[in-house]
Amino acid sequence: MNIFECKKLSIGYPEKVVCKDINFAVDKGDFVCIVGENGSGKSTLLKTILGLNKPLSGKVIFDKDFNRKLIGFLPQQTELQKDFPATVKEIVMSGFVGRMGWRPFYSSQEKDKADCVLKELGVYEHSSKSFKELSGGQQQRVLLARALCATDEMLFLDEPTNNLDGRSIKQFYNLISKLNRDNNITICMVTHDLERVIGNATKIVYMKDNIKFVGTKKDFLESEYAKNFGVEQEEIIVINNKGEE
Amino acid sequence: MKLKMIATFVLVILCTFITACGSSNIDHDLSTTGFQFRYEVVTNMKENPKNYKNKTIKIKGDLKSNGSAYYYLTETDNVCCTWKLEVKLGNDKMVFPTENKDGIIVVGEFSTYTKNNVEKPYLKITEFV
Amino acid sequence: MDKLIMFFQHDFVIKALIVAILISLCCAILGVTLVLKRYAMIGDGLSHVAFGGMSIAMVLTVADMYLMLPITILVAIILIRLTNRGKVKNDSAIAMLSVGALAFGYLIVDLFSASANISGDVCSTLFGSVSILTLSNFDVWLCVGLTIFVLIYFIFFHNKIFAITFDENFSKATGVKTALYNNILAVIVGIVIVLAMKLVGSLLISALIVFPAISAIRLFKSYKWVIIFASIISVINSVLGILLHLLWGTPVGSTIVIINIFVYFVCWCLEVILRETRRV
Repeated sequence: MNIFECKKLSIGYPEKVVCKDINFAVDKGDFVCIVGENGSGKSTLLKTILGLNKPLSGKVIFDKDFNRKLIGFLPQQTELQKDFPATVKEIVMSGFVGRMGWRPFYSSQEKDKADCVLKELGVYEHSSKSFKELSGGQQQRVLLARALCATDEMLFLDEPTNNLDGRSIKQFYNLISKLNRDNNITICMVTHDLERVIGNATKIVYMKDNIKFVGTKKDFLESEYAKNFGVEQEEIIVINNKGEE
Repeated sequence: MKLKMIATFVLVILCTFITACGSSNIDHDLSTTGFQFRYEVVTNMKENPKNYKNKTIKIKGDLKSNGSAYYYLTETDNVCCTWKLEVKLGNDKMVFPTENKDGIIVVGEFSTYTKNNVEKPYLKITEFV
Repeated sequence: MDKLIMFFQHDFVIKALIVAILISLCCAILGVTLVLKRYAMIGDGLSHVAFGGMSIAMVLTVADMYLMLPITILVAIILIRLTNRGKVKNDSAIAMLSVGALAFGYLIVDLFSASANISGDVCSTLFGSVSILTLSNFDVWLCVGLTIFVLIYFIFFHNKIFAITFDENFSKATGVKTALYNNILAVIVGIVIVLAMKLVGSLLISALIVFPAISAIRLFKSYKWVIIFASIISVINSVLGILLHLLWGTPVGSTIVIINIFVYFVCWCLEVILRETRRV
């Protein structure tokens, strides 16, 4: 089932076109990795799909059966947030705000779901702690929990492991892969660590000056670009159900 | 003996209260407050005259006149504001001390009169202190 | 103590305290959002614009709220919608509007006002020496009505305001109408600034917006408690300021601001003490 499709999409800003003629579709259950050099427009593409930037031309079409409010997003952390006085619980609960409509207060089901998600991600015991007291890895998991409160279906991530150390990066990608595999959440992620996640990826979008490649993982591995990422066929590491390699 | 002492004591206390009540018949004593409070009260007297109608006010200010029997009390602070309150004599036997005098204290009853369909506040002076 | 009782016999003192409490509450809650979004100086800029509006009203001798409110709200909407992509950046825009309005306001008051004591009027408006205790009846009702409207808005939309303040991109991506809420916030900022002028005067409004928020942020790590504590100390500071003004004759605006600074200093010390004792 198709979730969304980019049709002849041009992205960028009024002064500058960043990328032209983007065409690809994302289906339910996909694990899409958007990769490329810095400045190639990966984050801009993500923001355009999410409606945060206006497309310069072309369209992003969401399937009519897909509820646009049921999207989860893990953006890059801002400076503001690092010092923000808020508890983990308050931040995670804010994931529901997009679905609440005019209702002013959270329901008890929403509070229960938040607890559930926090437990699943292993940060439940930090619920009353202030966000700024947590480590980088814990903070990312809290923001992931917030995104999972916003959605059960489709998760967008923008370079989620930027500020994490090696071990946290590995744990984080394990989590994402598990969500995709076990909870059937569609993933669309901008990443610099293609070699770590390519095992579970289903589609790749490679950007450099413009779209260089869009297609399935299999096609990507056979293409000329695979060697840029050090991902030859034999070296693929797949993370299985037990989180082992 | 004891009863007599208690009775005298109670009487003395009562007398003190009555005479004390008698002399403090002033509803609002603005002579001991600062300039700003006087400004605030006078402004509010003009905004809500019914709150102060017939109340006895003791107030300090500069007495000024424009010559033709229009007298007023006023005070100015250069970094803030000026207040002005028209004053009239309480009865025919009274006389204004001079045309202009700074820092006089008066006791009077606040009231209003109507001129050209406008309600104007003024202080009817009962005593120059 | 009896002196205070004497003051409370006057209706306008009670009204002033009620209005001050309501305005302080609004400023504190709004201040938390503005400080966290790094928009704190917008209060200063807008208050100068409001002064410009008030000057026009003084010259035309109409009730100042009729002009100050629409002008300030309009400029607030323009400022909040500015992005940093245009030729004029946010902070320059605030500076331009701010000094322009201040200069314009003083010029027209100087040229056209029929008042006997122009510099007194201007000084009083800028520093709020007695304004809160000389509100007209219309002002009192308008202040009460507007502050209640603002407080109800904050109560009903506190979760959305938190979400947008913490992460506007996430909120927009997950379906929150961020543009609408930002416009409403701009209107609320305009309203609260005009009301706060009545309490502390144009030049000192930023104090009412900033100090309670930053004092609370020093001591509390949850958004809910930051808002609650900021509200409580804002109200206490304003009430204390008015009482000291009545007792000592000091100007209301400056007194309230000095108390706010002192309280912030106390919170800072408390934070250091708590941090050191936790370490031990």
